[in-house]
Parts: sequence; structure tokens; C-alpha cells
Amino acid sequence: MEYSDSEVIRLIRINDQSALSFLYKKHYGMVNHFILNNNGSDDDAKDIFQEGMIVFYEKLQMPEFELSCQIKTFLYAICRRMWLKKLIHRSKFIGKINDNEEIAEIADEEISQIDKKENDITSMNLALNKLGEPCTTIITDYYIQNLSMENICEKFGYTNADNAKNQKYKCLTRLKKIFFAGNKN
Amino acid sequence: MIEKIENYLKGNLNETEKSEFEIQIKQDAELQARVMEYKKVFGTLKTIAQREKLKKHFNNIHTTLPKEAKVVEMKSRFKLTPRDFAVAASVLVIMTLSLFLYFNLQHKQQSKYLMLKRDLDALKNSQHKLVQHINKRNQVVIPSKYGASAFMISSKGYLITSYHLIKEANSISVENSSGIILNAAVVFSDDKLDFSILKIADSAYKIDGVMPYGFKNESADIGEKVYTLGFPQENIVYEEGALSGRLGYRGDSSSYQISLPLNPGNSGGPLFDENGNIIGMIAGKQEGSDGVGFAIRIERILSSIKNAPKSTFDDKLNFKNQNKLKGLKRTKQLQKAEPFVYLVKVY
Repeated sequence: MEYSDSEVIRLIRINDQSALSFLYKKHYGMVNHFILNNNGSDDDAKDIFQEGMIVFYEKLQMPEFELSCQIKTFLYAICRRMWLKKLIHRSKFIGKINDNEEIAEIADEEISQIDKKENDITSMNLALNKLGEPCTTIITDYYIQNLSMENICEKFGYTNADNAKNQKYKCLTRLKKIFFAGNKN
Repeated sequence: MIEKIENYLKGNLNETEKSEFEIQIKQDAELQARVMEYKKVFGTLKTIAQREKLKKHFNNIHTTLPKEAKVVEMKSRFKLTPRDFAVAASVLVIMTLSLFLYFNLQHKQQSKYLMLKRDLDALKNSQHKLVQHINKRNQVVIPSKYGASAFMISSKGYLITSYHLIKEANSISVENSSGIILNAAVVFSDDKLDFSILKIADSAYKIDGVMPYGFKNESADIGEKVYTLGFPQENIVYEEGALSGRLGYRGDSSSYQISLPLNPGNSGGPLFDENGNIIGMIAGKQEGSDGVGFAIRIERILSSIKNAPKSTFDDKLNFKNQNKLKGLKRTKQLQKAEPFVYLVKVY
């Protein structure tokens, strides 16, 4: 099944799973090739590609987002930038990138949006870890794993749902505090 | 209070509750700030949750990726994984073919003869740039890295390999399966027959035993069982087949046609007969026909070497080695021959 770029975008926006699958299989090779040619491993390629796909997916969730180039070009540009950042972070950037595709310019506002989101997520994960138990597990279970209050009740042995709920809100207050303290940077 | 904020943000408040709360927010700057903060916290947690889900989905898709989806290219530091090699090989073969078709004017018009060199980092100068460059100066711009095979022809440190492989080399290194890497330099080339002689130019070099194979200075027969050792990938590979024709590509009388599975990287490797005599050097394969390959006859090679100008070689080369492989089991033959077959890296 072959989809055009606009068809894929339409389908992803209505949460069609096969469109995402199609996109993944179509473009993984290109990114894998790029990463391997630039000092990376297959695992690096998988991570970067998935992160790129996530950025693309999240962009699509905003109805006003319009892609002005091919999906392939966008993905390549995003992944390339991510990989460059990672290489620099690992002190492994040798000053030269081997490209196998043309490079699209990503608008500055797009980039700052993406970076900001990444920072928020990193800060949140750090804050979650700083919470300590049982808060880390309660918040993660409820908000990230989407488990029910009953589930959490059982897990921690709270006497009733209200108890668990109060505990959850206590944790949330702390989480907010830690998150904003850390996010000042 | 947080519960109320959460319900408000989730949209769980009814109309009246909602408008009441919104009035409250307008009037209380501190409350407004708190609501904004929780909005961010919940939003970020939601994004994290969604990403976890997506990642799970992606990991599932990843396991279903057909091997061909991952095109493996060699890194500039020459780390090639053995798997997916067939794909890389066919991609490279097609690229090489297009480059050669573009320029090999002296060569046969519709050359379908694929020289079996491996282009490492062929996309280093992007294809796009290459074509531009070519259009401008009508010259072959060859990607700078190749890999292929070579084998020893004299224990004084002389190896033979493909000419087309090394002709643009700035530097050459050779490595055998014990992992020793040595520098080598070209001392003689025959572009018509497409072979070159390298001499190991490394003071660390010491011959590792006596060459166990001999050179068969007569024609071999069709039907003769043959085999090769070479480096179509980073580790040594054995292939066997038969001599299928007395003439090479397009009736070339200086080569044999062999039916042997060949890949880029096999170029320059030895062609042995059943008894472990060298009868040729692997040169190429026919495009589109798997298992149709060509090897330059060894007697032509030896004759060309003998006719080389006197000062070409520092040492006197005779090719009268004794064949010690005859009668041995194939695996034993390979064990003894393996240290004398090399992987060539060209920079």
C-alpha cells in the first residue's frame, strides 16, 4: 500500500495506525544510512529515527501545522539536527557531516519550539526522579501509564480511593514545585 | 483546590462550575498563575505518556522491518557488519555501474561488466556533487575508499590485486585474517589485463610461513571445480564453483568464465583449482547474472610480469613454488592458504 505525503498526513491526524507504520518503514533506511555514515550505530539510528518520528507526529497534532516540503526531507532535517547535537554532546563530532539527502532549513521558531518541548520533558523526568517514592510511582502510574486509581490503591495498599487521591495531589504539589525550580534554566 | 484545577483543565466541570471558576481566576492573579503552572505540568506529563505509547508502537514496527529497509553503508572507519551485505553490495554495484557507464569511453560501449570493487563511503562526496563535477570536467571522480582482495605471489612480499581497484589510490593497506595490517605500494600494473602487483612496504613485515599453493602455468579445463577465498565483507569468505568457459567477458581470451557466487570485494582474489593451484585472479562478474564471473588466466599474468622492465621488481620473482595443498581435504587447504589472502583497503 503506497500513500502520498498528503494522504499520510491526513491519516496520521485521524490516528490511523497503518499510516504511521507505512511512514516508519519507508524512511527508516534513509536515517539509518545517515547515522551509520556519521559515526553512529544501528541502535543510535533507531533512537534518533523514533525521536524524529515523534517530533513529526507531535507537529501534526497541531492543526495549523503545514509541511512545506516532503515528509522525507523534514524527517531528515530533524534527525540530522538531533544527531549533530548528540555527537557534540558525546564530544564525537569530527567537524564534518556526510549527507545523503538534501538538507531543508527548519524555521527558527520551529526549532525553538522543538527544543523547548525537549527541555520541558527532560526537566519533568528529572523532577519525577527527584520526587522519590511513593510519589514517583504514583504519578508515573497514573499520568504516564494511565492506570486507574483503583489499581494504584491496590498497589500501595491504601484503604480507599480518596486516600490514594489525596496522596496523588500531595505528590503533584511537590512535583510542580520541583519542576519549576529545575526549569528555571 | 488542585483537584478543582485538574478537573477544570480536563474539562470535567459543568458549564456553571466552569464559568464560576473562570471568574475566580480572572480576579485572583495568584490562582491564575497556579492554574497556568498545573496546565504545564499536566501537559508535559501527557506528552510523556503519549511518547511512551508511540515508542512502544514504533518498537513493534521496528521488529517487522524487512532487512532490506536498513541499508548498511560502510563508515569511514571501515566498520562493516556482515549482515545486510547483499543489499549494500547491490546498491554499490549499481552505483559503480552508473559511474562507469558514464565515462568508460575506451571500454566496450555498453559495458555490462561490473568490476567487483567495493565502494566504501561512496556517498562521501554526494552523488549529486559527483555528477556535477563529472559534467564540468569530463573526468572520473571516484569515491576515495574501496575494499577488495589480494593474494601473495611471492614470499618476498609481493601481492597481486585488481588494477582498477588501486589505480586511483593515494595509499594502500593490506590486512589478512590474523588481523595484521601492513602498508603496501604498487610496483607494477597491467591495465589491459587489469592487475597490479603490490609490494609490502612495511618494516614490520615478516613472511608467515611458506606459500602453500603453486601456480598452474597451463590452461585449465571447463568443468574443473574451482574455488576462491576473498573479502566481499570484512571477514574472509570461501566460495566454490566450476570453470564454465574458456573465454571471459565478450570472448576475452585472457580470462576464464567461472560459475561462482561473487560479490564486490572478491576482485583481486585467487582462483584455485581442486588441487590448490592458482589458475587465475578474480576480476569481475556479469551484470544481472548471479554466478557468472570472470577471472584473469594466471599464465597471462605471469607472462606479463616476466616481460616487465628489468628494474620493476627489486627481487627476482620465480613462480616455481611447490604446491603443498594437493590431496589435502578442502578445509585443510583453506587453512593453509588463508594467511596469504588479504583484504585491501585503498585511501
